[in-house]
Amino acid sequence: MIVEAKGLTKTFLRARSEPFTAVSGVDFTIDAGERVAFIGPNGAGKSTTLKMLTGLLYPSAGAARVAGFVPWAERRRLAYEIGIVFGQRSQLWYHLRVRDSFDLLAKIYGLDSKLYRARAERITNVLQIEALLDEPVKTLSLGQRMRCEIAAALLHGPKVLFLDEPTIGLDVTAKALLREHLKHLAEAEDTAIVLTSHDIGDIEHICARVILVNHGRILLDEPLENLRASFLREKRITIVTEDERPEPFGAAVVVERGPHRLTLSIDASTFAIDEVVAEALKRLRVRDLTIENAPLEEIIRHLYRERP
Amino acid sequence: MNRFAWIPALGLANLRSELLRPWNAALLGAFMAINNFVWFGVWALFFGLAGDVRGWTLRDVTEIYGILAVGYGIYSAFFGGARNVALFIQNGGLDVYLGRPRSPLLGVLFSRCDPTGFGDIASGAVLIAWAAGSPAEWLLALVFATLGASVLVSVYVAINCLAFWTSARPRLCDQLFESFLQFAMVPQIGLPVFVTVLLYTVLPAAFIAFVPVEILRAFSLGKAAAVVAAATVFPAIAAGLFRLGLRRYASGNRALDVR
Amino acid sequence: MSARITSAGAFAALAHAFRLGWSETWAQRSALLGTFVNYAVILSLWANLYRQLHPQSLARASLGYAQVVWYLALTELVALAIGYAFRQIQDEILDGSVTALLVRPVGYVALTAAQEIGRTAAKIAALAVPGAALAYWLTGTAPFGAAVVPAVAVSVMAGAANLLAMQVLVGLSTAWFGTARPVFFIAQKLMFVLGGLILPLDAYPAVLVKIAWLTPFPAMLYAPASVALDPTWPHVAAMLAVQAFWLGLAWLAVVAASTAFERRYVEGGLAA
Repeated sequence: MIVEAKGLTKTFLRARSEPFTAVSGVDFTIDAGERVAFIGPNGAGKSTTLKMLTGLLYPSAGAARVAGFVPWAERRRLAYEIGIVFGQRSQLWYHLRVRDSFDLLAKIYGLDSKLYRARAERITNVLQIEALLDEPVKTLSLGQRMRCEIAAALLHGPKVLFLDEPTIGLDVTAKALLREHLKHLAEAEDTAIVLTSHDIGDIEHICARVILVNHGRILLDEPLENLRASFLREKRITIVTEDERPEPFGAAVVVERGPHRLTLSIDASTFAIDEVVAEALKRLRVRDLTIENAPLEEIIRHLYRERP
Repeated sequence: MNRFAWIPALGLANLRSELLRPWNAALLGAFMAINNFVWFGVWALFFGLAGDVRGWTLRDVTEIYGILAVGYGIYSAFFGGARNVALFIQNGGLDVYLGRPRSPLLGVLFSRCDPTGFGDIASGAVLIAWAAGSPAEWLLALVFATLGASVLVSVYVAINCLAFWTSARPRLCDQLFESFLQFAMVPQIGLPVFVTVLLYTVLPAAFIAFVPVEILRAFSLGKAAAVVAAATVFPAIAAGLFRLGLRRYASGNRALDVR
Repeated sequence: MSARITSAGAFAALAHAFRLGWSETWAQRSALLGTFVNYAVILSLWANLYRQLHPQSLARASLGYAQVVWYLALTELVALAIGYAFRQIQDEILDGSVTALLVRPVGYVALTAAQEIGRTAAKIAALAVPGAALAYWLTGTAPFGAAVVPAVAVSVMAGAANLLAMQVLVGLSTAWFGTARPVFFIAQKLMFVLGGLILPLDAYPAVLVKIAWLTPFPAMLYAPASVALDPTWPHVAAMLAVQAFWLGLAWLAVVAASTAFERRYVEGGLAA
């Protein structure tokens, strides 16, 4: 077990308002090399849980151990064993070259220079950032910067990598690239990954296990395969038509119907998507068509109905 | 690896960040130097009218100003991140430094280099040279300026630490520090007793430039020891306040939730 | 037909920006408190210095202790009420947010200036009474009566408006120099010296006085403070006339700089 949380609870005291319990009685364990996604809506308690596990916040009750350390009591020693990537905060030095940031982090972590160079070379190969090493961080695109942030967080060989919304703001291509790299890196370095994200694509491509959090509680803790089987089979098809009032068809459930627009929900395990698309093209004068997974909020709402 | 190697590495990285734009740095430094020389003109006008203030002349006040300028320049060039403490407390920026296995306070102090600091140091050294009676006095004044920088940075950090416990915004912290600098800039003569006591204790402005110039006028071992003590005690107090404040930060309980 | 803003509409927008600046300043009580603390410290420390001068020193310039303290109370009121107004313009140019602000039907500089005037008016309103109370406490007297207060108030606002114009020009210089700070340092310190921040120009050497009056700086600081010390109507009229002259010139310069700025920003490629 590399991460263990037992009854973790966090209640915030606020001036001029009631105490607010962000996390309540959270229990879970994570093994070395496991890749776990923390999902949940805004305010669910994901970031608060992550902060307690990384020593940035101490709990109101409960216990936790990460890589053998109590995070809030042994923060500095824990720092050698974990890496943290904040989607919205950079750890690199903005005006300096990426390479300079890496060298500096090597000194901060007291890394042996030979080992550091070997490790840095390996990580930069996997993340394909060799060409970026001599560029100032400020000139990098968001996707390039995120790959460098991940590399920076792994230089000291942490046992656990915590990622807080790592793909936020990235375009589709950059997201896909980052997910591939993360997955390979975790396997290559045998690093456990704990990821918070709103993006179901992050979960699907990187993680093998999902912990769903809401109102500070764990609602679900399952392998991704189970989740996929149970909930991710729903697809949404949005059709933009020449017809002002497009008529629904077949057994698809209508999610939304408006002027020149129709959104249908399909159970992909029951209906073949291509047949539904063909039927749409036959019956309607289609201008545009999009197929998406059911939004995360829908899945979570569905889960609430099942697990309040 | 040398376990302290990260400190100069971090400090130098901060400097290099700014000096990568050498023209910008030179422009800011040069104009800050001119700025200080023009302010010297204000003092010259004042003493042109006044002659002296209870025996304190233009030379004495220029030496005070020069020492303060050098001390302030050391702060802004090398420890400019002191002004970021309140901002990082309020926007969660401390998280990045807490996630590293080193002193978060030093990390924050090294997070900003203001090239105007070099202008302050250079112009301050010139002003001291004009006012000093000998090269030895000039050197000693620079030593005092370095000690004064330690007090300056400590006070700035301590003021910013208010943000751990109150809703004090970065702007208010800057304003309080500017007020503190006013005390350090003028000769502290003829002040009410309670103000003088404050300036030697809670608001240690006296130790930054005024007491050093008193020592340079008439050497006193006791006063010199006091300046050295201030330069070590106040950083310890500031670091202690920061450590205490971190416990509150890590509690997540805040007077104002701005994150 | 596309909508076009009328003069009345533009004026309403500027008035709204003024009200926004006014109300946001009052809402930031801690910043107002910080400004007053700064003001009180500066005034008290310098008053303490003046109190220790030989009486003949000030008398040489036909000044007394109470007069110089009230003088400083007024010059500092103007200087602190404006503060670092150039920073908003500088920051918006540097972070690129000015790009979106330039495509509005009411000019960016006009709106920003209106908002700043609102902020300044609020700060003057907040600091004037406690500042006067402090000056009275330090000196035990007031050098002018209630009848002069309106003239002083108008002159203080005119001084602040002049200073604001300078700060707008300083802020716009960011588009040419990449930063406004160097220009600000020089402009501010020249204002302190040639505008008579600490000492009235009457105490200056004659040659420096001549140089000072060739610049707009006395209109910012010396003029409003001297109106309070010499409230005779010829002097008041002269100071208000000087301020009006420089105000017209300054804001013409702002209009010219604003046009040049927009041209440089859009055509010069800074918007990219």
